[in-house]
This record gives sequence, C-alpha cells and structure tokens, in this order.
Amino acid sequence: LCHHYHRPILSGKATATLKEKNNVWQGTLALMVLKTLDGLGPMHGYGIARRIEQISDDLLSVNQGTLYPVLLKLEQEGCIAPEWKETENRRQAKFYRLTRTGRRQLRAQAGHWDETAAIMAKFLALGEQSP
Amino acid sequence: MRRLRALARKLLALFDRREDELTAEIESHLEMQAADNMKTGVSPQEARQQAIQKFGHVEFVKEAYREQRGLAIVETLAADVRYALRGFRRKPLFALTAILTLALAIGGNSAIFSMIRTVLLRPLPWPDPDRLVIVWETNLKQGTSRANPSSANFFDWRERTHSFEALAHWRFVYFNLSGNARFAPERVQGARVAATFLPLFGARPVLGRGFHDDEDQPGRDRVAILCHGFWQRRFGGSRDLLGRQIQIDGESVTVVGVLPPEFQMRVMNRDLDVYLPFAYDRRQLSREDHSLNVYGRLRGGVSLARAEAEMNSVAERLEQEFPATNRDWRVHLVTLPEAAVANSRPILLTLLVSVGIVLLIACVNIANLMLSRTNARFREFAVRLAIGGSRGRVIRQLLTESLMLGVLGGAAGLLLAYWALPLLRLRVGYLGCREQANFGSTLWS
Repeated sequence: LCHHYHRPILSGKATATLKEKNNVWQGTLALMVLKTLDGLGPMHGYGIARRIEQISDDLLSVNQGTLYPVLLKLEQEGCIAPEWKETENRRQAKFYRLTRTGRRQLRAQAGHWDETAAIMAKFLALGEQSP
Repeated sequence: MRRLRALARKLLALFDRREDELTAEIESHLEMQAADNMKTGVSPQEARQQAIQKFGHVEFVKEAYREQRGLAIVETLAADVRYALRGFRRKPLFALTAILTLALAIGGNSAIFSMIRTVLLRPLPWPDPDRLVIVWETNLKQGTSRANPSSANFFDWRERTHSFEALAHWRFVYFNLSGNARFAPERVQGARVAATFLPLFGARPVLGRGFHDDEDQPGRDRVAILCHGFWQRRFGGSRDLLGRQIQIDGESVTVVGVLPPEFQMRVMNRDLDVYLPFAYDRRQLSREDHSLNVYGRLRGGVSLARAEAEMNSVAERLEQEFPATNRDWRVHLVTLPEAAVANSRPILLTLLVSVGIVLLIACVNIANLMLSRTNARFREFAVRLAIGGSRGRVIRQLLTESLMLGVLGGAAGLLLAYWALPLLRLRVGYLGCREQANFGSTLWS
C-alpha cells in the first residue's frame, strides 16, 4: 500500500535511476504543466497528462497522484486559473488557464532550467575532453 | 507574493473540507481516458477498467491532493488531538488520574509561586523602598533584640542624627467614631502618625492636603486624613467632607485629606482607616516606655550600616547622659523590604521546595502510568506501522497525547491555584502590607 504512495511522480525509463528525486521532478512537472498550457491554451488535467506523455514519446508516464496536487499548487499560487467547461465531446471538465503570474513564472523557471541544463552539460563534458 | 497567496489559500482550505469538485474532476478524467481507450476497440467495461488502472488508486490521489490543499501539519495535529481525546474517553480512569495528578502538582506550584512573587520578588509599592528602615532598640544585656523605641530617645535621635531624610514615629490605635443621625457609631482602625510619616511613603492625598509640620504639636492635632476605602465606605466618597468635623474619641476632628486608593497600610488584614497626628507633650516624654514604632527614610547615598553606626554613637552618648534609663540600649536598623519578608521567607522557600518535590513525584507517577499504557497499546502501534503509518507519525501521535494531558492538567492546575490562593493568604511581614498574594496580577503581570 505505502509503496504505491511513495511511487515517483514520473515513472518509466526516464526516471528509472531517479526514483529518489521527487522534489526535482515535482518542480519539473509544474514547469511542464505551465509550458503545456502556454502552448495549447486552456486544458484539463487529463489532456495535460496525455500531452506530456505524447511529447516525451511515452517515455514519461504522469502519475495522477502528483499531477492533481501540482495543479492545485499552481492554482494556489495563482499561476493557473480553473474553470468548468464543456469538452469537444460535450463532457464537463475542469479546464486550467495560464494566468499572467503563471506566464511570468514559466519564463523564470524555463530560464532557470536552461541555466541548470547548460551547467550540467558543461560539467559532464569535462571528462570527455581531457581523459 | 506567490508563496503568500498560496499560504492564504491553504489557511482558507482548513475550514473548507469539501471534495465534491475533486471527485467530479477525477470522474471526468476517468471518462475521457475510457473514451480514448474505446478507440482501440475494447468494450466499454474494459475501457473503464483500464482507465481506472492507469489512473492509480483514487484514494491516494485524494490523499496527496488533501496534503497539498491545506496545511498538513495543522490538519494532522487536529486529527491527533481528536484521536487523543477519544482515547481519553475510552480510558477515563487513566486520563483522570494523570490530569488530576498534574493539576495538584501544577496548582500547588502556581499558588506557592504566586505568593513568593508577591511577597518576595515584587518590590514594595513605595518609592525607593530600600531606603525605608524600621528603627528598633536593642538591649542585649537584657535579652531584647527588637524593642520599640522610647519617646524621649526618638526625639533625641531626630535632633542629633543626619543619616535620615526623615524619622517618623507612629502608633496603631483603635478610634471610636461617634455616630449621628445617618451613621451608627463605629470602632475604626487607625494610627497616630508624625507629620512626616505619610510623606515617608510618598503618599500624597488625592483630596485635600497632608498634615502640616506643626500639626503634631499638642493642641493643633484635631485634624484627620482618611484612607480612600474608608472614605468611600463610610462617607460615600463625598467631596463635601473636606473641612467638616467628625467625632473621634469624643473630640471634634476636621477632615483635611483623603489618601489615594493605591495607598494601603494593612494591619490585621484591614486597611488603616483614619490617620491622626501623633502629638507629644515634650514635657512628658519617657525613656523607659518602649512603645513607639519608628520608621525612617535614609538620605540618598547613606548606607544602612553607616546610619546604624551613627544611631549607635548617639545611643552611647545618651547612655552617658542618662545612665539610669539608657544603660546598654543600642539601635538596630532593618530595611522595610527585609522586615516585610523576614518572617515569611523561610516558610515560603520551604513550601516552594516541597511543591517542587511534589511536582517531581507527580511526573514520575505519570511517566509510570504512560509506560504501562504504552505497553498495553503495543498491538495498536504494530497495526498502525503495518498499514503504512510511519514511525515518526506514531511518535507524533504519542507526543500529542502527552501534550494534551499536560495542557489539560495545567489548565486544571491553574483553576485549582486560582481557587486555593485565597485560602493560602498568609499574614506576612511587617504591617502586613503584602499579605494579599494576588493571583491574577502575579501570574500574568
């Protein structure tokens, strides 16, 4: 039972070696959500999950146990705003819209992520240049 | 700003525990997933089944959602408190024993500490109380260490010493206050005091004036100053009373002043009601009638020892001048704060140690109770750990339970102290001026 509870938010090949890095991944998932909403406009939880899985070529599978808390967190921070609307299949669903705060947050986080990635890339390249 | 907004939302969420919306959101998620699954050609039931499987355990999603929604610490604390209270109700004897034990120990400690603070720690309510001294005469050859001074000696000291801003004599007296058409006659507590006595304590009348310097001369002493409580009680706080005459011990006396309410001189658990000047016929002074009370205020910068030395050099000269009456009579000075606590300090400190030990014993008892209860609950913990409760969570639960016991016991103890303190009022100190150990102003001021 509790094994299930502590399951990492993203499972699949990409996370196989990163099971313990929940915090990193939670922040990452929030960023992915913001980016998805920025690109596709208002979207419901299911759509966001599907989109992230598609973009990662199904390498990532989104754990709903983390997705919905992350959505709630972003909502509490004012980054996204919820609204119940009808889907194209005439179903009621809770759509999330990126707010101005969310857009600002997305820019900041994306910049931060780029920096981190660049630093890590340089760092990892070190060994290869001078064996 | 973002964090603040999130915190505000979380606080609000503490009072809103509805989950309809989340349930609906999850349901719509499952439906959409199922609809997509059906495109692969499976039956509706199969599609639904797959959707649920992919989604994961709904309860865990909800649990994670709840944790994000509110302040998890507050919510689990509230749950722990509720659980602890339920546990106490299930085992009332244990809870009652522990709470009562704590209440007795804490109540005793609070009550005694209240008294100690009032009596020993709080300064006397007068300006520079450390400079106020009581003057005793001693005659070690006759075996007296604290005799009241005689009147003739007092006046000689007053004229020959320089260590004091003022030396004032006074005497406790019962006065007969005559009745009239409106009042019944009454025996009141009062004092005959030197004109310098009230200024010694910084007492300035709120109404009228203090005694003039020459009013402690015989014949000019038909004036009275009332304490505030007595003025209110007997005369209804009438301002017209000033300048009027009242009959004291069959003589007409003019009321010239009323003291402020905060000035109290308590004797035998009652405030002194009336002050009259202490007039002495200088021709009738005596060196053998040791019956005065003498208080003094040291001049700034004069130590107690220096003042006592000066008093004793005067006493030695008096001994030479009046060998018949003053042989071996010396002077001993005690500061008023010291005199106020000298009698009660050992009693109070003994009590403090005793209640401290009682508290220790109570703690040991409760520790034993808790230990045996914990042993009996071993199964409960085993089950909680087995179904996924973390060790830290169980420890927190137990701490919360102990804390609840402590809080309840402490509250009961304070109630007990509040109720017991009036019973404990001791008569302490000279003039009894601090015998009221006031609970409220002591614990919380």
